[in-house]
Amino acid sequence: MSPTEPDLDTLPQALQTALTAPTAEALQSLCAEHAAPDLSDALEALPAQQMEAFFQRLDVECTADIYAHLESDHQSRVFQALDDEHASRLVAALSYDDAVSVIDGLEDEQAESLLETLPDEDQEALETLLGYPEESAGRLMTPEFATVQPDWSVAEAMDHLREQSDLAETINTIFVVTPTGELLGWVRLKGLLLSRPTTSVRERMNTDVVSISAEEDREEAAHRISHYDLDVLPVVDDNGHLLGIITVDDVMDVLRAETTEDFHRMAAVGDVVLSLRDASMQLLYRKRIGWLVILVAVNILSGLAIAHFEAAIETVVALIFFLPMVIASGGNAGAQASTLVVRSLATNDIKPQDWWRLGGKEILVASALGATLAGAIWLSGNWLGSLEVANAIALGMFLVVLFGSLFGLLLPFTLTRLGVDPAVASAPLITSVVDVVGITIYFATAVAILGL
Amino acid sequence: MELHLEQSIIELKELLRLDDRDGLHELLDYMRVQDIAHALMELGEEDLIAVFNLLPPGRKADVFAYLDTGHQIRLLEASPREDARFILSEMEADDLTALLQTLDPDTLRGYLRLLPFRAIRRALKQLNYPEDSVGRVMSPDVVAVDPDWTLKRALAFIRRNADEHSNNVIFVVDQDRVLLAAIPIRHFLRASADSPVRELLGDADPITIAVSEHAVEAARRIQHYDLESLPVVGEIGELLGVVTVDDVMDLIEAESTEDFHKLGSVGTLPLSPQEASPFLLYRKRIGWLLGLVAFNTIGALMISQYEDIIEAVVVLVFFLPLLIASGGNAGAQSSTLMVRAMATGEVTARDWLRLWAKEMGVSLTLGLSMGVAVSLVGLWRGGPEIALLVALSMTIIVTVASILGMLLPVVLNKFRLDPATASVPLVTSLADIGGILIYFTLATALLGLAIP
Repeated sequence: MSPTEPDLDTLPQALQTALTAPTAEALQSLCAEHAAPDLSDALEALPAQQMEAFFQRLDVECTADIYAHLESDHQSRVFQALDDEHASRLVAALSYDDAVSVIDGLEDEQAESLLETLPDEDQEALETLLGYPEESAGRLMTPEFATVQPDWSVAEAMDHLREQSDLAETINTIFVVTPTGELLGWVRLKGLLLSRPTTSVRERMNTDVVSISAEEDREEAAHRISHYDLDVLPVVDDNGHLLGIITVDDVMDVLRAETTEDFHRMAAVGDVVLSLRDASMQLLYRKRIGWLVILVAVNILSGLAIAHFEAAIETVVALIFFLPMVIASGGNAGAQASTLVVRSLATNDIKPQDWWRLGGKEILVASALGATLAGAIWLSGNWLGSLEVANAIALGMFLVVLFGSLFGLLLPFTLTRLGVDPAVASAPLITSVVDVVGITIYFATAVAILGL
Repeated sequence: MELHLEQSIIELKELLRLDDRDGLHELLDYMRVQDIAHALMELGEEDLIAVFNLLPPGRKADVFAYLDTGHQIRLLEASPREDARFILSEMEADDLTALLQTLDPDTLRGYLRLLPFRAIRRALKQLNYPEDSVGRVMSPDVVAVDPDWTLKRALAFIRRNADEHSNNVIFVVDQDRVLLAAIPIRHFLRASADSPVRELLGDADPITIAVSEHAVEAARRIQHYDLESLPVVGEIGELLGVVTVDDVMDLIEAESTEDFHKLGSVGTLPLSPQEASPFLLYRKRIGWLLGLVAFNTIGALMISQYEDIIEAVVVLVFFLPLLIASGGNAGAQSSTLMVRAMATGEVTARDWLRLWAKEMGVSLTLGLSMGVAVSLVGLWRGGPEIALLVALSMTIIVTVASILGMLLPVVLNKFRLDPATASVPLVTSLADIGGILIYFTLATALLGLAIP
């Protein structure tokens, strides 16, 4: 338990009290005492007006770091509440990677007029970053980093770093570049501190560098950082010149966002950019209705499939009793299979080419699952219907589970082939398709066995 | 780079086929240890052992650390005693614990016997912490300095006790090893070598975690405070170890995977579906499937109660799958949104009431929209009365299922169960039963049929 933890629960109230004071003194001391991520969490729990007042009353020196930790919708609300001059100073005080994500959340015109008010140097740097494709490594990186040259001595390097330590986002890992900026290797600050001052940087330099190009996907950056256990990933251009760095904490946020996106897609929810707590009713409605209506359309087919077997139903009404059970089981088995595959594809556990191997195994697994479930339904069929009906629905169950499992397994692979996110193979989509096909299989089997 | 790894794997397999030892040596020298580990896990049993044995002893230990435990055990079993002893004694304490905790007591004893006495004691101590606690995942070897030493002496001490786990901070402890501060190493850059470490101690207490807490909390704290390493303390605040960001990234990935599988009602799968045997996959999936069939039997029973109505108005059956599937889909959406929001910590106990009220609004509008859509189909297949019936049923079923979907994770949480536990299939099945009941009750009332 962190020593600051107990008063975290009371921090929102403390902020509220401090906000009512005539001077900003109490607010300033709260800021000095607490970590920025805690303060931003506490502010998010306050009413909008109070959160805005907090940023209006304090100088950007204290608030920039707190602002950087806010959720993006809160960021834009606070931004709108500040006067232009204050807002511009706030953005200028942010590190470039945070500034880029703030500007990304603004309307085009507002972003442009904001950029014009910034110091030339910042404006230029931000425009370069904003020029990289969305969700690329270039958007995620910060161009503020410390470098040293290979021919310097450790003492020279340390003098240089002392000057740079305020500007760079992290100097724990320092990159070694040629005078023209070509990336050669890296050293740890700790390594330099522990070296004799007269040693040359070249001697201490580690030349095994993992880097990424600015145009590549940010998910690849995340993958590389976690695969090679890096603190910092350098971003380079085509000629190997160092453009910026991506730190491990940036990447953790990316991973979290991507995982959430996968979760939502698996439940057939559109991408919710806001947190569930803050999303408006209209937004939630819009993100959910699309898939629901599409799935209704799919399910109308299931009504038609039933209509096709009207005669059979009228003869043996008991068939209807077991219909929901059979198609639900097929859907559930399919949802299991797709969940396993989608997650494994996302964590690079399996590759798109592995489909036939997993498919072969799934036939075995699904047959065993189907046989077990068929046994179970055969018992309840005997109870609610007759022996003949029980035989018919048991066979139906077996076939529907087999179909559902294989469909659930193969759909994510097919979607990957087509360049679509496999997480679109959501449980609801699979359940609905299995409903339609399952109804047809179920009645067709019944008709054949019962000779209707 | 990714392409690079794929190419290396193909080349590796080709060289193995040709039995080109020199070529293999050359390729392995050129590959990074993480990539070698990745490649080894793609090979068959014999090749795995052959390639591993080609590695020079030092790299063996490095590569070994990046393998998953299944492969680690296979290699240990195939290695001569001396090699196994070397590999185990070279392993980092946290990696060793991760391996040992998967073994049964007999095998564990066998491997422990290979270790030096100090390492045995350390391993047993770490295995003594509860499963999934911070104590199990931390690295216990952590170097700390005394506040009264000069910076020069502190740095010399750190150099002697080379420690890879705190690259960017230096821990300061008092005589009882109580943690006083975690000083960012960049602060050492500015200070003079002869000043005492004490001068660098800030006012703020360091952010720490108790050894007995859940490992996931360590992950949350590292992510929240953007830390690279989190010191682990005992009851009186004594420094016991450190958790680093790269350990945590693996932990977060594993945790998300578990949530995914639970949502899809797959039991906890310790292996990737690629490696899991068909029998294991069957076992992990059949439990929920059978449980849900038992659950759906209630649905079958309920339909059988309405047998007379169905025989009188067969057209009712056409809409049954459509209605209950739509309810299940809407419920799946809301439960997934809730489960993920609870997992990322953005929704807490306080928010439930507000979210519930919002969900009422959202689900009612969703239900109305879908009711309107489906009434058109009702008009086409059954006339105005049926249209009214299905529209009304759809609205109520979707609303009820959505609210159930949002409540279920909260209820599971109240009973100290993981909210992700099979939420989606459970909601779908609940929606099936509720849907059948709502639909047929409304049908009897609206169409003026005799209540059975």
